[in-house]
Amino acid sequence: MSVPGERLVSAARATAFQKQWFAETMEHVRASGDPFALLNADAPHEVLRAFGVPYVVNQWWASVIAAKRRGPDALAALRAAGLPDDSRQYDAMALGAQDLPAEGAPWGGLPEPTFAISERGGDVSHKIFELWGRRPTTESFLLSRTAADPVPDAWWELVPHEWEAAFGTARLDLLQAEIETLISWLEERLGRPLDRELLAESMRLGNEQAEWNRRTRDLIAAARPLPVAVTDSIPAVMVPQWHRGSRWAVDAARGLYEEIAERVDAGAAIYPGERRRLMWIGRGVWSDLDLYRAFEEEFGAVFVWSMYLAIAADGYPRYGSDPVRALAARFVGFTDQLYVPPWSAQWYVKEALAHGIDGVVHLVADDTPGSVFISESLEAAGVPVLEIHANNADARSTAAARVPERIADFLRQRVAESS
Amino acid sequence: MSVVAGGHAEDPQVLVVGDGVPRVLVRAAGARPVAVRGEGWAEGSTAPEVGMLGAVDPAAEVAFETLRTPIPAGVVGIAIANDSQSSLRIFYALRMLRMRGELTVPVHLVDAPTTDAPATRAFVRTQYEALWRFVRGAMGEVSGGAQAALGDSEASEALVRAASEEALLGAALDELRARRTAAGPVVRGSDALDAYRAAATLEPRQAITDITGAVAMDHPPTRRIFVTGSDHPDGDAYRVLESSGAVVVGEDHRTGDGGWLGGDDAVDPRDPLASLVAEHLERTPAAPTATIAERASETMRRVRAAGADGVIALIRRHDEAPLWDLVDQRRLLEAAGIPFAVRADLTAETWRDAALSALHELTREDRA
Repeated sequence: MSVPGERLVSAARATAFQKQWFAETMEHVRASGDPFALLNADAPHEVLRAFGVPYVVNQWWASVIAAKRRGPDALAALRAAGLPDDSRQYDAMALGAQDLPAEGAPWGGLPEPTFAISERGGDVSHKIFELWGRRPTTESFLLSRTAADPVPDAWWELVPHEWEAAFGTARLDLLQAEIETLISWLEERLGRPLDRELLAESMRLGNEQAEWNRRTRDLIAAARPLPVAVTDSIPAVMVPQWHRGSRWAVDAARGLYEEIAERVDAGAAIYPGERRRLMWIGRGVWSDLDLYRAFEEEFGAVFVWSMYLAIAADGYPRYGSDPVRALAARFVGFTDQLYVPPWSAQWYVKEALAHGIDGVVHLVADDTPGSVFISESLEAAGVPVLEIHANNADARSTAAARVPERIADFLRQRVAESS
Repeated sequence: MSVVAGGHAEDPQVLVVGDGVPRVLVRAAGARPVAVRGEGWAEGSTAPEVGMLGAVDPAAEVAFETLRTPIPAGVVGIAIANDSQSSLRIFYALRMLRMRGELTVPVHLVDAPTTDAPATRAFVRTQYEALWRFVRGAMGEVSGGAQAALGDSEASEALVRAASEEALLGAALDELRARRTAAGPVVRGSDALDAYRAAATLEPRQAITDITGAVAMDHPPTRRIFVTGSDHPDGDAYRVLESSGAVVVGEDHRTGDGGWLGGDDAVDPRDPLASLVAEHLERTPAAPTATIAERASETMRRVRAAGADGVIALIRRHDEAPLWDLVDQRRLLEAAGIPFAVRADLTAETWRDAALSALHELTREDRA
């Protein structure tokens, strides 16, 4: 069974759901003035869900802006405001887009948020969210980001239950206290207490969603040939991810698993001539999603892996009786799992071997540490790596990096066909 | 006494990266803190454009290369503050090298967030306790002696003594600041940075000699410049700015007036760590951790205190935080009628011309 041009139903449904949800929610927000939040990807979303406050994720919105080719305008708006347009573009793009004319804005544009919440990641995130907090109707809240120390081996085995050992009690104590402060801050502004039963339910549903994602990830890892394109699995995973902790998100994750299982049972292939299995490390190039299917005809090369499904499988589950503590454990080292060596390197090697990867394209952004260690570990495991240094959200940067040409050269020169 | 790597245990040193490692604690634990800041970056780094650290500014690359080279005799460990992304990346990379057996001394992170809240204080306290254990452990490798525990009377006395010595250093630096900002002839900024460097690397008594020995110019400066943007690990950039008679009378970065040197001698002997935590939380806002408003406000406060008549921002490539502060700094300086020249994306090849052109820009604004 060949399904080269057939879109995954789960992906189409997720995208349609998100468009409808966004349109209805933003219309309601504009009409009612009810609170709505902008959250960074690594902020504790579950608190807002338990409060019943709708939220949009900063990086997701940036991906929509980039996909609609409005990224350059958004960056120009930053520059016009006296801000840098070449620093943390992925995190800052939404801020710039907010000052563009509503006419022509992606999906009708984003209303002014009531709350803007982020962790203090890197040297700049807190400044970007400080600027959000200067907008007339927006208040910002910042959480600490502590560093990845300690880093015991095989984090993916520890984090679901043994998160105290994985992250260290002191780090968890700090973030738990700060989440409690965030809860009090929101209670004061919303005029109602947090229903902690709802928070616990949200955590439980988030774990259930992660379990479905884990099954899906394992299914794809074992399947030959590849039954689903990453351009489908990304929206099918990430739209539910941004609705994490809801029943809809669990059902969507389960639907994705069942649909892919059907394809595997039927022997479906996104490209029947599959000869090389590739892994994409790094954020997605949202302005050029066709890139991920561009090497099938000439090279028989299919992108099997992106971090979005894999981290959804391994990165989120946290089981514990105290939902705030478990929530702190979900986010205290979330980015560390992806980017800090040796954790990152160990995980990517584990994933590459499990998926039968023949070659890795490693998109390295300015804000991600330790890329060299990831690439070295993969090479040491026998997996060739192409490192490309570029910003995924900035079309100027990816164009300058000559991404397609370099991947083609890499495939010709270094990636052997699967045995 | 036994010896490590050919070094003498009489002068054990801990190499320090960043500005958030409390010197008092290191000294009380028995080692001399020696700052490694990327000195000489302006002469050009041999490091690759994107190496183990990823995209970081050239001074951080040079600091990292310094720490990777054979560790000098007497160094027992490396302590790194998580007070910027570049420092944190240096820690992550050195930890990997240590795990691989490619670094001969242990490396330790001091992670001290800056939000003043009870939970932060508790967290920073655990970090300082861990730093104490780290230094004592590293010292133990040298001497093989018993380790004093924090809370022991011996440790408390050592902390109080170290704080007292650090306060003397602070007093000498205060006096230097006064001589930098005086009316009439002043101490050059480049000499001041050299003195700060001495303070960050030498024993306090020796550093005080260097600090008090800084000599004022024999005539008033032609122009009083304030420097913001990136920090300056050495006096090279200031020497270029001061080559035509201008003087850098102040700065807001952490290798100058904004650094954690000196300190409070009012350490509570019953709980010295609480005093150090409080001191940390009262430190000058630095670009990577401060909000835009905090940094700009601090810049203005210091510009006024120094009596500067022009401000120059010199920002190295990949040093992102200062770029975001410019918007408020520019607004406040313009409102005060103080000219402001910005040069960004600086590398070892471009910084010299950029610094001079910034100075000329201020002069042109004067004429206009």
